[in-house]
Amino acid sequence: MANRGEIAVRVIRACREMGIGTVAVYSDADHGALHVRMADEAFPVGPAPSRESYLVIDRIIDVARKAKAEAVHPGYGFLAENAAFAEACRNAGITFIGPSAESIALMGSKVEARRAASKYEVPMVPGTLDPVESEDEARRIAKSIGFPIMLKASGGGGGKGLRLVRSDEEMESALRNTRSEALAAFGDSAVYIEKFVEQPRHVEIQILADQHGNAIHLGERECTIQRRHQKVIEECPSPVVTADLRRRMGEAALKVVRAANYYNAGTVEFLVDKNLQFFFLEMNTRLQVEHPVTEMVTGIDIVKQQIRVAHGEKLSLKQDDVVMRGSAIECRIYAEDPENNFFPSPGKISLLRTPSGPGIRDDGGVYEGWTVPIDYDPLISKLVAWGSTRDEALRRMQRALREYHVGGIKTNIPFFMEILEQPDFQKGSFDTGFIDRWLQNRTGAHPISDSERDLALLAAVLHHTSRSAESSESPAPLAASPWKNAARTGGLRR
Amino acid sequence: MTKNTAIIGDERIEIVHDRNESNSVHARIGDRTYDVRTLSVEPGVFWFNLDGRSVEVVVTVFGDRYLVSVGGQQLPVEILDARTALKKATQHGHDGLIEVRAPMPGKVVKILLTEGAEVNANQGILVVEAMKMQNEIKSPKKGVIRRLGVTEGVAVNLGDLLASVE
Repeated sequence: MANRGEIAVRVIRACREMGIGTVAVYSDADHGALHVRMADEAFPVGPAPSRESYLVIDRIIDVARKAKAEAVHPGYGFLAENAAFAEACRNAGITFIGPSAESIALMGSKVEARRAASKYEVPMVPGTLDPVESEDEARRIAKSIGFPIMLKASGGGGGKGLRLVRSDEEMESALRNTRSEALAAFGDSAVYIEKFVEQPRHVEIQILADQHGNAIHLGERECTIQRRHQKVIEECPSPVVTADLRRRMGEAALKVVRAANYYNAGTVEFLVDKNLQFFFLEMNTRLQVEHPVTEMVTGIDIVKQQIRVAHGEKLSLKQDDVVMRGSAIECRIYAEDPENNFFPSPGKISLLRTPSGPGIRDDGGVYEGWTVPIDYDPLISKLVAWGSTRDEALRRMQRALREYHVGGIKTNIPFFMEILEQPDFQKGSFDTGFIDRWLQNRTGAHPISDSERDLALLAAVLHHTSRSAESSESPAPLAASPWKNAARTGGLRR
Repeated sequence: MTKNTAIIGDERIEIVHDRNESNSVHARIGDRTYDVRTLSVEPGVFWFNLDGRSVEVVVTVFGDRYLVSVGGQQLPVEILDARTALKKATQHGHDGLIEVRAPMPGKVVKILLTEGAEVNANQGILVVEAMKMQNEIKSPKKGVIRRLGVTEGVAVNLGDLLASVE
């Protein structure tokens, strides 16, 4: 398991159900992490910074060899979409649980991906297939497809290296800035142009393909609810996708699969405009964070399918076997502070109460007493609710969020409580700018009743009083002594 | 009878409470009074029965404050008793000195001002990084940097002293 956190735990669970032994890798910061505790074997791979541990291909391969692992699951992030890693696994005789290195490389370049998909007549946002060479060329193309346009880094992803250009005058600085950002972030200054789709929704199709030419899709996920281009809530099915649209988008996604000569699980992302026209955006050649909503609605365990396909088995499912039942929603629970510009809030989890009951799934990667390291993504858990209808799923999610208590660090749970109460969200009426617009107009935290606030203060006083009583009975001081603090900071200043 | 002050946001609220019997508390919180039945279900988890209404509150330590969750919201609350109020007063020295403490654990990646430098309210003093995000720590008021508690490259914990501004 060449990953950490909740996704490593998710994959270990699938392996255990299949009777497959698991090997975890961990950095110094993850000594004692949940995935390490749960795996059958665990090996250190280096210091806390991921470029010295989880991203070092040779170290991961060494562990795989030492443990005699037959296969490697890359999870998402880290080395999951790194063609060189897939290649290194192949050269070491270890099965990479994912597509071929060639498919990863092809879909990893947005320009190459568009070119490949265009040969199969997959609908695409009007724009260029080649990186733009000059400012003049950029202006000419923008004029022919019409402003507003988006400048996009060819090697980009994760919301970086994107710029909206509304007019000819903005082109020069936008092109310069996008290029330098792209060079800094991805080591490649190539930039291409796409027409900007107004009020877009982000809808993606989950696909499964084997190494024998069989491929199916598992319907769509609605991923429009994003903050600064990062998904925060996902749903299956989308509130706007009809059976007919699903079939057409599914067929388009399977064309991309053929264009990329793709096998294993993957996700084809589309933009959907307000008239329900859809356009190919990119393909993610890995397991998605949000895969559980599809699993809840289709009943198909995507991780197990990945392992079977990687093992060379034929898909046991046909397209007609995929039946969507009910509705699921996922909230990404992050260690971050919604009242402080969503800044990460790592630290020790001093209390953890996770929700349960009908229709609830909590894919966590932490435990009470664990210190969320400062070095990695602040995702601590994915909370998923299933209901027979979208309305039931939303209400279950609200109920589960109220049952969820994380102490010692801040989380975005209160933020989700607020979003789920927004009438436009409840109606399913939103586009990718929904959260950022809403946050701009938000005046402050959600108000609670006077009596709730007063009881909160009273509880804090009662807790404080009992802690003070304990500390006056024991010789240990309540907090670090000011003398020690002075000595410590004095030492640092020298 | 126990007296405390709760600081929540910019508000200071006086709280006086008294345990009538083991399971019951009489409290005056600001200008409202309550008689509630309560039970400490487990450390930090309090259940209240307020006129038949059942409310559960979770309290954990958060730096030098408490993080209180109720109804799906999280409130950072500072509680002062006679002892902590005194300690705070000694630490602060006098009213004009404000301590800037780390709002989250992380690493100090850049120090923008030196000791003795003049600083405006909301001007950045230093930058703390966690999970690849950088957060500029700003001065709470106009004044002079009296002391820097950290150097570039050091790791800080929640609540560590970063600087004091006078």
